Amino acid sequence: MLNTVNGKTKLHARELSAWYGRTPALKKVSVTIPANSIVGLIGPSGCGKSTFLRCLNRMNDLIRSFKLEGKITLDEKDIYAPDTDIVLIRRKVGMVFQQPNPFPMSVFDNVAFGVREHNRGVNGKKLENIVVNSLKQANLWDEVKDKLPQSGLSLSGGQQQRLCIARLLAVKPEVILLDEPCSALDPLSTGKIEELLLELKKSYTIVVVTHNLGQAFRISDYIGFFLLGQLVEFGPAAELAVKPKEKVTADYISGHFG
Amino acid sequence: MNHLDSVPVKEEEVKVIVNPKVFLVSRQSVKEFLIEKGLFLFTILSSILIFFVFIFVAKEAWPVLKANGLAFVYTGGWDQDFYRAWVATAKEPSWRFGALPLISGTIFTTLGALCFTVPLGLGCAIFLVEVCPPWFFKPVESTVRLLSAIPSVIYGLVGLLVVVPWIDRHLVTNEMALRMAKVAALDGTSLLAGILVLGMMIVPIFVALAADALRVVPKVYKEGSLALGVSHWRTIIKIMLPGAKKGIIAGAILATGRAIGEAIALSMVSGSVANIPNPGHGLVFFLEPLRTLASTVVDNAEGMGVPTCESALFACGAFLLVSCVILSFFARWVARTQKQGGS
Repeated sequence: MLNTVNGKTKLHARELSAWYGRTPALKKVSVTIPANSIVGLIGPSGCGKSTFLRCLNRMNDLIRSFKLEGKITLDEKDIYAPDTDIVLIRRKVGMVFQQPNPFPMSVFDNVAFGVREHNRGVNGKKLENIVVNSLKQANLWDEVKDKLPQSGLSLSGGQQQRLCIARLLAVKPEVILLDEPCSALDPLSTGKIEELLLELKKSYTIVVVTHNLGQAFRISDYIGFFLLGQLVEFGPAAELAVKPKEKVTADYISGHFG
Repeated sequence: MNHLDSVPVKEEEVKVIVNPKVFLVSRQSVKEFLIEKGLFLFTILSSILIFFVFIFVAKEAWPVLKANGLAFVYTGGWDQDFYRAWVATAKEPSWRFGALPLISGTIFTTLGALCFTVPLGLGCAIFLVEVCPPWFFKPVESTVRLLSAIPSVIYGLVGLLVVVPWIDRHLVTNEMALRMAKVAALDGTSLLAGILVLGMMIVPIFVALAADALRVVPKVYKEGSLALGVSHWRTIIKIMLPGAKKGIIAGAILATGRAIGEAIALSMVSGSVANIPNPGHGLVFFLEPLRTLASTVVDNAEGMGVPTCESALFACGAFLLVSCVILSFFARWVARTQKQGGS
């Protein structure tokens, strides 16, 4: 397991096991996610990578049959401790989903929603500034500056996904989790999102689940390979691309999986 | 041995005659044709039936509506009118009827019941869909279903045996009763009893529809909001309820339809007096008896033999029909505007 990481550890999972009812989904996964890096999680469908991602902001709490063992720390604080404020965790660890899911409200309100909810006092010019900056940060401003009052659902798929990122940036999270953010998008939109993630890395820690191996190697600093609920291998992307330690990883990466 | 064997038949002919598929297909298509046309016929028949109901009610109601014009809507005195018409001789029938008390009674009870049902039902629906622990869901849900299956006369009975005496004992004071003696007898049968009983009756249907509306709000909206660090409760208020608005309004409209048409239970608990409760009386307003359009049709049914009375009751029915049609159009209009504005 990787233990020599340059800089600070942002998220850390130790011996994480999870079940949906009686079906195991994760088996003793331990991983360290360094701050200000992009971690790509790859693996075949149903291997547990999305489950793992959703453990990081306790999104799995919504599923009643979900059970978890082990520990996840955010800045060295256990996020599954009984006295944890889930809402606060999710404020720090935001999530972007596979299907772009802007709310059925205007582009402006989509971005303003979280800000208003977190701080009722923010309004007028101040709120406007946050919205504009978030849209600029998400590389969306130029495309939507004339469409702020329009419904967020009227944008294209790629724009919707960047809108979802913008609305997340507006509430200033520390970690951004992305669950196959580009699987519903065309290559051009995908490219825009990848560029965006590389920029955001400077100020955020990013964990992205992807089925697109090319994407994983293009943007990730570290890559984790999941198989059957286990984290088979985790390491710097450059190392994994050239010389994976495990044979299954090599097989998967080279497309000889089966 | 079969004697046919000896008859020389060409192979192709045999195929044509005994090919079972040919029979099957033709029989099938005849069946389908019949079913299709049969269903079409039933559809036409039921639409025609509804059409005739409208025509019939309008025709029967027409004499009274013509004789009174708009005064039917804005004048009172129904009970006296009805009595006069009933005892009038066939040679000099009395055509004057004023249904304002009945119309106002219907509006008061329905609005009151809605004010009581919508918040209660919405809370119940939110609990069922968002909060209820799984082991508790089935019992609650089946109770709600059961409530909607209870005949209205049972609600009326419970209202009459429990609600009405309670109001009489705890809310009606002697002083009140004396003060109101000239207007109406205060004995517990009242607008309030009507509102409570009617409200309980329409809660289940509203809960069922509101819960369905909440359930179909896309899960991704909820997740998106939670992932922004918005609390569950705020997510319900800001994302789930707006998303379910259309279905909730449709549920309220359907519940209104049921409330307007309810006759038996209301005739049992609301006093059966064509009185117009006066908001000017203060809170006594809620304790005054009244009668709705639908209850009137039941309560005054004994007058059916007299042509004038019969027509007057059909006029009440016509009002009920028209209000149901209006509600139905309103529901469609809501659905349409929501679609345009919502997404």
